[in-house]
Amino acid sequence: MSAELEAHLEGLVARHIAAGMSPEEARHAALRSFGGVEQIKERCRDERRSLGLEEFGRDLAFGLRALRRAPGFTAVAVLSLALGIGAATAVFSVANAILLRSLPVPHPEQLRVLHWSGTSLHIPSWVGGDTSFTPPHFFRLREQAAGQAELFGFVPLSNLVAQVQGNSFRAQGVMVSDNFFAGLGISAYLGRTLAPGEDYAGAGGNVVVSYALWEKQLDANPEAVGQTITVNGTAYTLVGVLPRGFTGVQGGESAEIFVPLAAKSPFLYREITSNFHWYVRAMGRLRPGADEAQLTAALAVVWAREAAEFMGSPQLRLEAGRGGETEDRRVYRWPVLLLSGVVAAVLLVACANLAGLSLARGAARQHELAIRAALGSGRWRLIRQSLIESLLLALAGGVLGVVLALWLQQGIARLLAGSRGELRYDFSLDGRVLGFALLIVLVTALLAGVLPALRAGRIDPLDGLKSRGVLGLARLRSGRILVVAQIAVSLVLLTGAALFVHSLAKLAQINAGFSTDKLLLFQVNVAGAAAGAQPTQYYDRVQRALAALPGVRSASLIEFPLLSGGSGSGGFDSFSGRARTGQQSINTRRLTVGETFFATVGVPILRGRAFAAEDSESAPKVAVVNEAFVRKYLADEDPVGLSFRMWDAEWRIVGVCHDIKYNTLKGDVPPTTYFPFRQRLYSRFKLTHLRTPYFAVRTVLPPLTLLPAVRRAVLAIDPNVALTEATTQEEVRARSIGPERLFALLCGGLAMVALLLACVGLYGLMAYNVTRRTTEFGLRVALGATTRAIVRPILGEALALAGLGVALGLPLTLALIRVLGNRLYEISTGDAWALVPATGLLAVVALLATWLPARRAAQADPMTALRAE
Amino acid sequence: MTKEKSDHVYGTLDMLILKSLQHEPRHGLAIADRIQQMSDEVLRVEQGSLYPALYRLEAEGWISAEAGISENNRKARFYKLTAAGRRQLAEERAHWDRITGAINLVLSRA
Repeated sequence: MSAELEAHLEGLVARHIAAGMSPEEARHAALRSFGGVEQIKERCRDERRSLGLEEFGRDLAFGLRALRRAPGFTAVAVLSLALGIGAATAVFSVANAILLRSLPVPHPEQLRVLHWSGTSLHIPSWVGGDTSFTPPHFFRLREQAAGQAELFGFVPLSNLVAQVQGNSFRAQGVMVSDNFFAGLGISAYLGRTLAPGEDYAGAGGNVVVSYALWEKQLDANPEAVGQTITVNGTAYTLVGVLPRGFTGVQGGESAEIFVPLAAKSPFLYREITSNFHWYVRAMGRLRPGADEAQLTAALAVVWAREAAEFMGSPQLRLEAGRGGETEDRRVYRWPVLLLSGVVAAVLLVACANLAGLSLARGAARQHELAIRAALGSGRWRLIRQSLIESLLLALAGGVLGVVLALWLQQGIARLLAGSRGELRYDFSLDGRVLGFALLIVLVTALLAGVLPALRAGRIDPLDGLKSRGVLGLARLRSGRILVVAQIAVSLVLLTGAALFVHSLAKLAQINAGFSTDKLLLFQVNVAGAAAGAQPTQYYDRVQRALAALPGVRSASLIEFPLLSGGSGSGGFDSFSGRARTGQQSINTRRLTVGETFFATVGVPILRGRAFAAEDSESAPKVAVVNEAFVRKYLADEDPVGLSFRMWDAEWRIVGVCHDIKYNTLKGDVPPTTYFPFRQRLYSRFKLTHLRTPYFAVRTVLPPLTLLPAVRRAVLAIDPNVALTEATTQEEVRARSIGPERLFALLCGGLAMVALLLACVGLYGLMAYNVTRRTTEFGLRVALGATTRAIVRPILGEALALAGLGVALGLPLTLALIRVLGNRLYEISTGDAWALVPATGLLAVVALLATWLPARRAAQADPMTALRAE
Repeated sequence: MTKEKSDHVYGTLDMLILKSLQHEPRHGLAIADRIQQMSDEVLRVEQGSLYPALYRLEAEGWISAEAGISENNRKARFYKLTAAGRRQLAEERAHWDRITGAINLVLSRA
């Protein structure tokens, strides 16, 4: 640069000399005309460097100023964007936690979950669905796979009562094979995990705990290793603490205590060599270079042999295990997808709204834009400035939206969980969610900003300079298209919301078959208490103590509360009624109850009798079936006196009870068999049978008012028993329709938001149109037009736009009705009536939005209008 | 508004520089000379604005520079119009015509 300037100077000097000056004078003259050399160099450098950056900074400041000058517009824009972006981020965060996230282990893509499948299942009794195996099966498969994959097994244990350092607390746990942690790739944070050989034949006396438990119950003591922890009455030695963030392989559950799957473990359902119970889940990690197809084939061969006695054509497959072993992904996929659709629709409406408002605003600022264009701002500059404004709005909306999302996602998760009460996922906003939010912000800025920006770029300076008045404002055809689109989307959302609400109303009305009112429920855990040694006597005493309380009509033990989602089922091994049922396998739901159950819950006995005091432990085993059972298997003939075989014992049917709902309000009542608890606790594995039953107490007064008295009475019998999960049947019932409530709530809420946005958009458009034609209206008023003559066409135009929007949204709405009809309770494809209230609401809203501007049009003062010309 | 005004001034100088490079590449001094000459000595380019303008035009990609030797045997940078520069010149020309046409119209009316 210096050389160049120097050369220029020399040239000037040469000229001056040629003109007759002395060299010195020439130099002075040249320097004078040049100005400060250093300054010039500085300016040159600035030009080169900051051309782009400086302009961007100016555009940014300009954009901020412009937005501050229009607070109403900015507030509406930021709020509507915040709602849309917040909802979208919240739903994505939930989707991320449940559907997308991997386990916090190295190379989760190498993990697999074992699934078996087979035909005509005659399983004696099985737990956990088609990912569970018996212990011998698991060990055999692990052995077979050893070269290609590390197979590890686990058994979820819930409702554990643990004690350490004198503190007693509840926890979830897992019983695991010795290579569980090795297979997952997790090493201990403190101490060690389990060693090879610690399962099966091992003593099984060691336990590993989670980081959270160590922090909370052991005060993060670095010397904690070696301490004794009692779990459900059995003493274990703590050998290790897991790293922070690992809570088992089942999403939605938070496991804190890990005990070995050993022969001496009290958590086994039967001996570890027994092929009776299927409760061990199997996962595996493929070894590097392993041939998955070959492994699957080899395992399938072994499985076919092992399972041949239990099912026909047994098959085995390996499924992706990135997210652990959980049904949640399958169960929640549809609700989350639906939510995403709704939220995307609302976001689109918000963008359209913003675009429409920006267009109107841009058109009103045409004068200012025209001056800038005349003074040399290029087309791209104007477009860029407009886009920067959109980006600023979107960023503000995004920040607000993320805050909103933090609050929304907890609510969504809780409602999704329904009867389970809570989804224990980690909903923190990780990088993926924040990245998604940023993406949405950018897309929003683009969608909402591209139209106004293009329009800004098309500004013709002369048009804008023509007059200061309102003549010449464009007709805004695109604005009308946007409003029509918003109305169409609103129609879809409103109709959907109407259907959800209707479905919810229907669900809420379903008769459960018994009175859900005034029924108190609570759970006990006898592990670690003296009562645990003699559970039958204990439960009996509790029932009697409860019944003796004032304000209690009746009380009974119940394995798990009705309508809570809890379920147990099994088949009859043999049935004396075979002559009538033929060869079909008898499969029934099961519930273990106290003998006062039918009286407490309020279920009439239709034939035979209920349970009685004479049905003691040593007496012949009896059971009661419900009407549905009789209908399905016995064609309404009397089942009293028939007997069947289950759990290695003979049971005789002594009565038939009225149908009541079992685990859910939806669907038909399933065939159900009820058993008295006194006759169920006959196995030596007492800890796995009825270890945490509930009690149902029919009260005279509101149930929870009796809770303190109940608690006192129960703890008086044995103070070491844990009494937990106190609730009412009403609450359980409400929770069972939680998901439906969620959708009705969310969709209703979001539909209202969309409607509000469409209303604002329509208002903006109508107001703008009225402003544009103020002169015309002024003239017409001066010429004697009545209010009605002016207002009518405006309202008509608004209704026409609304009508167009409805027509546009109709096909999509009908498609939605068909989809929902298949999925929602009690909604059929014929429920198109929902369109009527939706359309009606839209029409009303359209009229409301237009009313103010229309009135303003009719009140146009002819004099001011003409003067603006 | 001051900023906008200098935008406007820059705009005119930019256009004149581009025009002066229309037929052949020149170095800084020669550009100033040419503008003076083409305007029949009416327009004299302020020396202090010339080089910042040249650097800006180069940054925008409308002119490109290469080293060369000037008439008095000194090393100098010769500026040349790029294809984008030619387009920009045409645009600025049209823009200028429109503005001056409008201003003339205003002035000629009563």
